[in-house]
Amino acid sequence: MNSATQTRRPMSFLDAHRIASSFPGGSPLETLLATSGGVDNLEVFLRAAAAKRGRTLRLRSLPFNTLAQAVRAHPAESAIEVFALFPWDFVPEADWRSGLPGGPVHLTEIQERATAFAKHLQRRKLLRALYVPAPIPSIFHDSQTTAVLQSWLTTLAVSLGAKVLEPRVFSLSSYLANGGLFSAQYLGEVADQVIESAVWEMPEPAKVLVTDLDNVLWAGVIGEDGVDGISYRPEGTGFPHFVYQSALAKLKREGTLLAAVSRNSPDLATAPFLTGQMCLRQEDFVSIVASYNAKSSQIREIATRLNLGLDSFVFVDDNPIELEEVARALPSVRTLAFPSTVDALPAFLENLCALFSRPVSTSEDAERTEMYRRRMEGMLPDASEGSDLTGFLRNLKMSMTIRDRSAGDRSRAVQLINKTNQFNLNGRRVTDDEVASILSAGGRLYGVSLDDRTGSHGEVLACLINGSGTIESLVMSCRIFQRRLEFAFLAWLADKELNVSELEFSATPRNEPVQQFLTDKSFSRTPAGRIAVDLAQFRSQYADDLALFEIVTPAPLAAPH
Amino acid sequence: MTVQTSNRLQEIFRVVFELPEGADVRELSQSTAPRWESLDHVTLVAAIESEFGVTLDAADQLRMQSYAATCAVLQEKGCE
Repeated sequence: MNSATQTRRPMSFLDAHRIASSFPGGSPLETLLATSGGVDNLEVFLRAAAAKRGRTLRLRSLPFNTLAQAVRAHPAESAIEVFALFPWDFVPEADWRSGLPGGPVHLTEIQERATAFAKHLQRRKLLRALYVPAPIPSIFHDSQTTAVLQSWLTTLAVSLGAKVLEPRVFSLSSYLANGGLFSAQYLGEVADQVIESAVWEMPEPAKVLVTDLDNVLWAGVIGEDGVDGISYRPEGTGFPHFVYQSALAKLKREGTLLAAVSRNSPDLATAPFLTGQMCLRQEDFVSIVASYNAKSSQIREIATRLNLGLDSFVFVDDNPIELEEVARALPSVRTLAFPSTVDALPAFLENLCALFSRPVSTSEDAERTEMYRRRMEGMLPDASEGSDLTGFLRNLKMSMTIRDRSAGDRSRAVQLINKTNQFNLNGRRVTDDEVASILSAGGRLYGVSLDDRTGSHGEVLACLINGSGTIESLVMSCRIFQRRLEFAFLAWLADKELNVSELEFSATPRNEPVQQFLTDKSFSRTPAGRIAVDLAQFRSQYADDLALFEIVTPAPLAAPH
Repeated sequence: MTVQTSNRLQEIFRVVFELPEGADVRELSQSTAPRWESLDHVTLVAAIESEFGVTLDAADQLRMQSYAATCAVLQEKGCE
């Protein structure tokens, strides 16, 4: 905690009441505060904290001591849930209000049950949780085991993504006297944390890390110091840059695309890579743009070549002027300053990695750089140049492998649905449980991979059809736009006896490509607001597109539901 | 108890028991205030603790059965 917070007077009851009662009202914030104890004394503080953020709180709480049941229930769709958790929520034996256990308790058994409780919490698509590492009674024969359990529980809560609050916010006297969990002195602080969690929105993970070279990827200026004068090895001034390079290598393995920009000539900018002694190789980058253009112009060039939105870019530079130039010209690009001191490196790397964190990593993630490099090699000719697009596509010798993902591993298909923005039928995100439920009700999930003469592009299209023949999700990677894959896939689907007749479409701020696709005359809007499709007509209209692909349909691993 | 402390305490009573602005609470007790139930009592305790920076244990809370008794508890806690 910083000193400013320590010296600030905590918000009192009357302060909170004045803020909440003078607030004219803002957009509603429907929130369920899920705790095992009473929170009535917190309500006015919560309303004040919401008002400070321009929101009108509509609070629900759980009946006393019903958290365990609530965790096992499905989350309420209409309200945001914030869990305020205590050690005894995971380990009921450690609840002060129950007294100490009558018989012996065993650490491993307790840990197993706590882990099972945590798994129920993990089923939430986005868990918003606070954890208070409050003191617990000595439930074991020795105090050391109790300390081990306390520490382990905090680690477990952190692994769930919970924010850990100070133990002092818990009041044992209040808890024993009336079931209230929080110390009155810290109600304002707790309310702030609860509302902060409620209004927090998970940012989309970034996809492309664009790094400057001089004094960032290496120490020194290549144009002045030459290849022999710069440092990047794990020694001396090169050490922080070696650590940075190793962090970039890790991000690349996890699916981040690396690119570099430099105000140098291309030969100079790439010379250090030719030594073969750096942690990163030139092949680890999808693009290295070296020119004397503004950095913003260089980044825009990379975005165009990769066909990715600028909001998926992060830019790292040591020069505040360059950072400001990019921030002003490309406001959707997130900018990060490379630290000027080694001591600031850990926080910088933590922030950087958090921007790219993904919940699940697939084999496609590790090969993403290669796939994008291939994409750029097989870059489509610009139609405005009067080139023969169909001839070009035919020459690519494309092959479409359609896998029925209704059984077996479907992680990549689900990941595609949850991360694709542009060619996405409705922007809806789904949990694996939701997909399983659709499949068990007679639905079907397809994952489509694309290969061409330049190599494999991986699984790039996913389609989820429910048991009634409505396409609930249809997503396609923007890497392979213009290959006619979406047309070919739907034409192929026409031959399947799935009675597909509708698509569950919703316009989103980013799914313009799918909106364009749906302007085709084979689609029409139904009175219920869905999109109807006549797949037989679609099949005859786009037979030429289907013919561009060799179709491979491997047998499913097991019979679908 | 100073006038300022007394005014703050009276305002807390009016807010917790949803009484009109300026209502005289000095004669209020659990027997005369129909709203004074257990949940309101919990809120009252937390409000006083947060406002005056004191801790009220179970015995203190049990004694707070009227405005006057609450004043006495606070004075014992050193609130002037």
